[in-house]
Amino acid sequence: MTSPGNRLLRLSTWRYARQHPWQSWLSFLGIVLGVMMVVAIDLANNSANNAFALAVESVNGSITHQIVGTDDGVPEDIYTRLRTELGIRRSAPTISGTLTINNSEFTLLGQDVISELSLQRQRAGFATSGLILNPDFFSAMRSENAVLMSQSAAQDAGFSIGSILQATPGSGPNNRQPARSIELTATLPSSDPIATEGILYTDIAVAQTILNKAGYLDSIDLILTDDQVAQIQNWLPAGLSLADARIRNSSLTQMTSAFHINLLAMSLLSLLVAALLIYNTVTLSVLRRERSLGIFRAQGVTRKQIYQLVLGEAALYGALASALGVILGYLLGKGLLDLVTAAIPDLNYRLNVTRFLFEPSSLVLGFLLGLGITMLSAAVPAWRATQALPITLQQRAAHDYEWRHYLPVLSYTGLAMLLLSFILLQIDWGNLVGGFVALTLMIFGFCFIVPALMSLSLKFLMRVLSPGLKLPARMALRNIYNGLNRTGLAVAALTVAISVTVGVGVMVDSFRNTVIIWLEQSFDGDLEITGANLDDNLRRQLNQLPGISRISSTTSTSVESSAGQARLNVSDLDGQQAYYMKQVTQADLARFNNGEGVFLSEPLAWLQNIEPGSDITLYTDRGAQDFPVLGIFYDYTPSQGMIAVHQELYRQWWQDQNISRLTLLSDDSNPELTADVEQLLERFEQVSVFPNQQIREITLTIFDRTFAITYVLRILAIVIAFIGVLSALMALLLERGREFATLRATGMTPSQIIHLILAQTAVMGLFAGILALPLGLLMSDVLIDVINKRSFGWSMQHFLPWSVFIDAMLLAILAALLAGIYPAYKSATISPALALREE
Amino acid sequence: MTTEQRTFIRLEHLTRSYDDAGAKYPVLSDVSLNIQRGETVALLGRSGSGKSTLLNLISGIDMPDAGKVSVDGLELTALDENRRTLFRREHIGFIYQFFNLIPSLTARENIEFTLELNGVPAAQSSVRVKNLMAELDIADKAGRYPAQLSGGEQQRVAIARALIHKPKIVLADEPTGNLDARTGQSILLTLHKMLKAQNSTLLLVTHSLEVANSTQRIVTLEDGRLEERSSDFAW
Repeated sequence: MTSPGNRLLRLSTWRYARQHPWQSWLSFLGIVLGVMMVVAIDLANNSANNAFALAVESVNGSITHQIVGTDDGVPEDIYTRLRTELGIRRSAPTISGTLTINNSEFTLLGQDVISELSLQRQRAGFATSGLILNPDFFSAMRSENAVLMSQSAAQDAGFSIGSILQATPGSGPNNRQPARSIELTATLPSSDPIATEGILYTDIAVAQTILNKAGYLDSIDLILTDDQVAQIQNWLPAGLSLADARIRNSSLTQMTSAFHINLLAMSLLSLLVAALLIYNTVTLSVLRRERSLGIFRAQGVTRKQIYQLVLGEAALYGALASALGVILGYLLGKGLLDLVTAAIPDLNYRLNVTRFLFEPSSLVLGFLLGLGITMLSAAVPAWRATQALPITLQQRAAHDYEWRHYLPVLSYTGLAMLLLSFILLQIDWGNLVGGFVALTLMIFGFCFIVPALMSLSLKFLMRVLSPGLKLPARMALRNIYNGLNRTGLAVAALTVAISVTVGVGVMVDSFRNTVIIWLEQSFDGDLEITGANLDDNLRRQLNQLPGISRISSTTSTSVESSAGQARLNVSDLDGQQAYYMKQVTQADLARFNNGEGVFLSEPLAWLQNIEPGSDITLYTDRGAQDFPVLGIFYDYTPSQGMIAVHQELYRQWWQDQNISRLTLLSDDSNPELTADVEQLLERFEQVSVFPNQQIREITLTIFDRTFAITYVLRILAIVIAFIGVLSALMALLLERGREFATLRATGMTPSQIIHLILAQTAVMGLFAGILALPLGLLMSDVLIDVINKRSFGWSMQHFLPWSVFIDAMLLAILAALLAGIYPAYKSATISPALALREE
Repeated sequence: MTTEQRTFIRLEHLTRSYDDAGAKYPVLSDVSLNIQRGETVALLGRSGSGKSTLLNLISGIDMPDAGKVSVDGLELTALDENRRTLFRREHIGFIYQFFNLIPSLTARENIEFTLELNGVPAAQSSVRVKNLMAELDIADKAGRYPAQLSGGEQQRVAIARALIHKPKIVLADEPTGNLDARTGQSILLTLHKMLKAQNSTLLLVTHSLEVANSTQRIVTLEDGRLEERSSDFAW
């Protein structure tokens, strides 16, 4: 039953909202933006993750093992021998690669029809073995250039049955391989269009021809029993290894999901800023109406009615804004998809994520999160509105005094939260939850001490600066101080948003600088020569060119290990010259140079939990062999992991002695060295030269592309905080309308009023900028040492880029000033006569 | 005609109405009034009769729909907003019923503020403020904020603020309306004494006949029209 008076109470709330539309809209917008960010990031992450999982499954299916070789692949006769000599029936050869058709990239998947039947594998997007059992497949494979697609994929690409397509193996702008004609001979119905998007299916022999892999397979896919595993391991010829398909993809999956957790964390940080904004707005809305609420209470309205009124209002705003936030988040998520996908580690083939995944659970979660945070934010001011006596609610001075009374409690709570956060960070939780909880506590703790820090600083400033300041400047400082229960909230919201910029900025810059150092150490030569014929003859001729101080060689190949598949890097340089070492002793360095063990890349060691001193099994050309891990080196390549061995050790265990690249170090005496090398290489086929500078630049471009999304999220966080400051200032300044009218009546010009208000907002921005620096630095420490370390296994050097600090300071002041312009203009131009009339 | 008797404030055919949801509500209709320099005038009227509107038009913080306001020969209604503000800053002092002191300034600073706006050097300003506060018996309240003062003290500060720059005109809107009778009486006496010393003109809005009787002349405002009254008329 409706309590007496509720109708008029609601009417009064509705009229208040109509009379103060800016406040209603700003609070609405804050919730919308917060929810929009979380939903967008979650949907984009889900779509990218789903595409990633499907891409792996589309190519691998539900197999248990794979026979893999070095970079060339597996000789095709191995497949025949496997079936005839060992009688392994549940096996199928696979070839996949990228094709470029009409400037779009596709994955070509080659398979053998008969052997696929033996695997009975379920390819994503088709019913059980449906692709293979489909009679169309047999009839479609009638020519040596025939390919198939799912109906939806063909439709998306604009192809139809009978289309003749010019396909170029490989991708990228520098791809010089000749194009071949292929024919789409059939399309098949698919149960999951997303899983088959961008994939062309063909016979294994056709794929070998199109992809220039005649005589070789990428892998032989197997479903094996434990006995068969042992049998194959003993039988496999040198240079081939048996990989566990599940382990092989686990590192990639782990790394990808870790990046997405980071993104989600950033979106949650933005939601936190939005929560502060919501709290701020609801509090201000209650404060502005405290006189009316006091009158209501004096007239007999119960505390419960007041509580229900404030919460009901918040629920209405929360629900409407969250619903809009969900819709906008869905649209923004589509836009962010490319940025999120850019951060996914490269697979052997392209990752096709053009289709946006509609995930109802993400939308519901976003809605509930927005509504829940709005209600939680409103609960405190609603409770306080009910607790005060009717007479106190009507006396602002009393309310301000009460607020100051709570300041020490608030500060001690904040300090306790910071302490708890520090303790949590010392504990290794084994996952990221502890890190995120600590980060949230740190942010809230800091917000709680912001008003006390402002109070102390303002008191100090007023004491020190006041004698030399003009009255309007003194007024600006005192207004912030006196309205600390409003200004403190706005500054806290802006502080958190700016600190996100500082924290993520320092993290990204530290990471970037570490990568630059790593690039300089790992690619310390001036020219890189790559190609198929890097033999001793070429090396001899290069040695005769003037201006070369050193030529080193590197072999890069893939290797199966007890830690999954990894890149094997072989250099003829000593360990300390070839790698940017993180952890190694002098003795172990010497052992490495003597070929007595291996170094592991940091991500591989971290993800597989391998410490120096332990052993790792590598599948060499002479069979499986255990090697001691002698050290850990930094590595920031987006791959599964890298294992480094010295040339001495490689020669001993591997037969393939092909060199992947030669690195030339100039002695700077020959300015024409690059031209000389290029001229020399004209005599050699399939050999190219790259300045190392170019490789560094490309790497940094990829790095910047990967982290591009963080800029978007940082900007969105600032936009939300900007709305928070604008909302607080509007409330604060309009509340002081009579005061400004008096100043105008006394003789202050509108421009003087504007200057006064902007001085006040600039000081608030300055506070936010200064306070954001320590919080941002703490945040960057957590992001660098906890989140990224635990997610990726990447450790970074800490860099303190001054530009980030200066940018943050300027951004804070600019945001506050911009937020102050409209309220200042309104305050300065409002009719003094009107404002001086009693309410 | 001597200088003292020359018309100082001239209101000619002033009309002002307010819009509310498309409807026009007339507040002043064809109001004319002349006030001499140094004269003290009470403007009596019921609530909503347009008394405060008239004060706002004289000070230039509001503009009439029709008619002219001139002060000492200068037509205020012909000036732009900025020049009206400068005129107000220099020549007008305001006293309000609810004091309207700036809460973030101390009593001394509230008074000093007008001088600072008028570019009076700090040393000179300090002496003037100190003397005036002593004269108004609030010297010991100089460092207090408005919230720390009683109603009477706040109104004394407001009077000091209105008079510190020796304005030609003082506009007082119910200056004792928010005070008890005794304090109100004391405030009025002080105000008249200081106005006389400065030869300032006072236009005082009130609905109290007793307060109105403290001035030299009484005019009433009813239904948007002004009428001259003798001091013994019945209200």
